[in-house]
Amino acid sequence: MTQREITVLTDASLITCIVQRGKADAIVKVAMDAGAQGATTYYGRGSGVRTRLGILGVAVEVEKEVISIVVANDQRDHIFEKMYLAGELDTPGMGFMYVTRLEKAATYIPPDILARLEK
Amino acid sequence: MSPRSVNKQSSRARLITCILAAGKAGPVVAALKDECGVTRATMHKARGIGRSTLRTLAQPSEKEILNVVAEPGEADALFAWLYDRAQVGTPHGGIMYMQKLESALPFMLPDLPEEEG
Repeated sequence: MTQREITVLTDASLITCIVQRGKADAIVKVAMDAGAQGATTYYGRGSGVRTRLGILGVAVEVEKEVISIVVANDQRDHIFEKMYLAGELDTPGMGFMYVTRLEKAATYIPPDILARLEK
Repeated sequence: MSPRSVNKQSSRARLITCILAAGKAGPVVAALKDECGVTRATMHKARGIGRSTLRTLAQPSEKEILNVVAEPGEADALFAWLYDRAQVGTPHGGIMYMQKLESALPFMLPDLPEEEG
């Protein structure tokens, strides 16, 4: 295995948010506006409900979208809160989210930013 | 609960996740098995969005997410190997991260010949 110097980020967390299919893009936009640098979304399958309640039907999609966002720890709570509100996760059936601590993360860091970090 | 014993590893394994451009993860999964002997790797498709250099949102693009479970003593070296092999350190190369797992089981393949093609 090759070993060379990698600049790793150590103060990062992963926000994972599971919502009904079709709801992810709006939440991702809010997260990006709140400072997130990127987001990844994929499909999943979870629990759903399809019940008739009076005139209005209540339905929770079984198909889900899972959003993963890597954030700096100092932005974590702010972005988490914005996503929570945008996804209306306080409403039953809308979805849930959680944060996991990352040991380290690595990505391309432009040379000018790297030079600034090394000063 | 099953009466069979579970052979959990005592020290904490690591989960390495790589978010890569479409088409990049497959060769890495094959190389993990052939070059490193790592079989605990899976991949799935996703869509990703990031910031462009102009500070605007880029268009969503197809991504592949690669998950690899690594032995505690090998995790850092495997992280570095994946960084190089998946070209994460190049522009638009994606991002990768590592997390501690509470426990992990080994994944042993039956001793069968490789499929051709």
